[in-house]
Amino acid sequence: MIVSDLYCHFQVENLLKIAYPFFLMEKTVKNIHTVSSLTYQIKHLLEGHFKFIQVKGEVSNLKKQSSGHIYFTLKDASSSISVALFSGFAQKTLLPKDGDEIIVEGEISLYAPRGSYQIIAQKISKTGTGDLLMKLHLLKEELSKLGYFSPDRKKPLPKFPKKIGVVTSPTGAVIKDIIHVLSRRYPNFQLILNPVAVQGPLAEIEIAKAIDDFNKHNLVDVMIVGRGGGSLEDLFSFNERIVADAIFRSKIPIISACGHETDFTIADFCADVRAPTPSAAAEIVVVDKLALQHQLQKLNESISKAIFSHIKQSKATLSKIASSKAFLSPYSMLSIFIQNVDELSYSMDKSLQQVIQMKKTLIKEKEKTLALFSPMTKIYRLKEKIESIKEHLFSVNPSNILKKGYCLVFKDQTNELITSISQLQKDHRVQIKLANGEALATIETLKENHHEKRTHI
Amino acid sequence: MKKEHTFEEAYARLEEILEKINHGEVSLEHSLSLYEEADSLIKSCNKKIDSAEKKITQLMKNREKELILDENGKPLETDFIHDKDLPF
Repeated sequence: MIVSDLYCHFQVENLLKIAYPFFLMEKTVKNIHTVSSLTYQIKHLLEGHFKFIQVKGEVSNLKKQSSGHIYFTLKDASSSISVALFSGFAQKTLLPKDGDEIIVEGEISLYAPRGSYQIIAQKISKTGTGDLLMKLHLLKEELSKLGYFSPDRKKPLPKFPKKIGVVTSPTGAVIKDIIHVLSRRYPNFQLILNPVAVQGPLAEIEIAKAIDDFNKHNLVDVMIVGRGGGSLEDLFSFNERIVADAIFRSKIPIISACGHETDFTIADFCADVRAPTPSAAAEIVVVDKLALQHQLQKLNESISKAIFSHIKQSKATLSKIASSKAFLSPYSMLSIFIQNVDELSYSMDKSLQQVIQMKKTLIKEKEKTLALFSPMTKIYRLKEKIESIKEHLFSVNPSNILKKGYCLVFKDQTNELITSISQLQKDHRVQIKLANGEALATIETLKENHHEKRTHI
Repeated sequence: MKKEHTFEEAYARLEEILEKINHGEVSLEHSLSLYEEADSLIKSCNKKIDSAEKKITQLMKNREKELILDENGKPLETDFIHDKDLPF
């Protein structure tokens, strides 16, 4: 975007044309002014109307005061106007020389003591800036598309670089500022300057070559590439494609430091880190010695603290273990087991006794059974049996029966015991056996009983 | 310490040690030996910071703005003295 397009351009001539009618107008008023009241009225009208203007013209009669303020006249073919560039603004903008075609941005101010008006300049740029800006814009677009500005190709800076390369002018304030800041922050550094021209024809070739040379000979760990601030034209070497390419292919990380905080160059976009000023670059490239010592101190403390807390923790764990119930009173932990054992052994005893008792009873029973089978018993019982048999036998002994008066009758020839009358016939000879002898008899009569067979002899 | 660390290595090692101890992933015995290591690393780092070996040189160039190389092809350097009087 071209800034100047936003505002109307004024020629010195136009300005006069607008300002003049106010003077005429005041003359017609009947009231009599004092010089001051008139001047202040004019001042009010003028300054109110031209709060922000851009005026194009040629610089002439430039004077730089020891105070740092710069005064010059801006003119064109037919008009001229005074310009004051106060030191506050002079530090931040392009410094004009006599004969320069420039555009002044600022406001109209009336200087009452002399009754003159002037431009209070805030920014000065060279004419033709628009073309340069357009060129810059197009290049930026192109490089952006090629990935030159891509964040993921930005190389990290070494934390503690041993060797720092600087690509800048050997005579400018830049190298001086860098050395000053480095010395202040970190006295233990090695700096290699690759002296180059930072503006003018071929400056960009020198800058690009210096970046390549640092890489080719692998001389440094990190590079600062830069120059002090200046106009767009002054900075233009840093906007050239050749420099962008050199930065892009550099294996060594690059901090760009071109100009001031507001001026961005192509080199700034390509660099791994962009520093707003050379001094800032020096601050970025090395850590502050004091800060580093502080950091080390903190690291030391952190490690000590961590170790002590580790020891403390271990101690605590140890004493916790030592003071645990188990170690303080083993019984408390074992009591449950002791009790269990007790109970178990008690019930074991009990059941053992029971078993013994049972076995004893069993044995007694067996003994009883066994006793039953003992030979003595057998004998005894046999004896009893014999005795009873004896008795029985005695009772059934026929001779004993015979003693009671009974007799036995046998057939004489066959010795067949007669038990029924049917066995006998008349004249059968029979033997009659009595207890104490025998008799021979002959059957005389037979008489059979109907109810029972009975022999009568 | 087994070998002489560069400042960067020593610093990285210190951070590593702190990380290890903080995460309690080391035994007490090991952490004590780490502590000793850290102590000597910090000492050597401090020594390195304090040894002010400032060296400022500039590369030598010929009229054609080419680097002047020595017989080994290494660029020649010369002490850089800043011209304070030059206004810029």
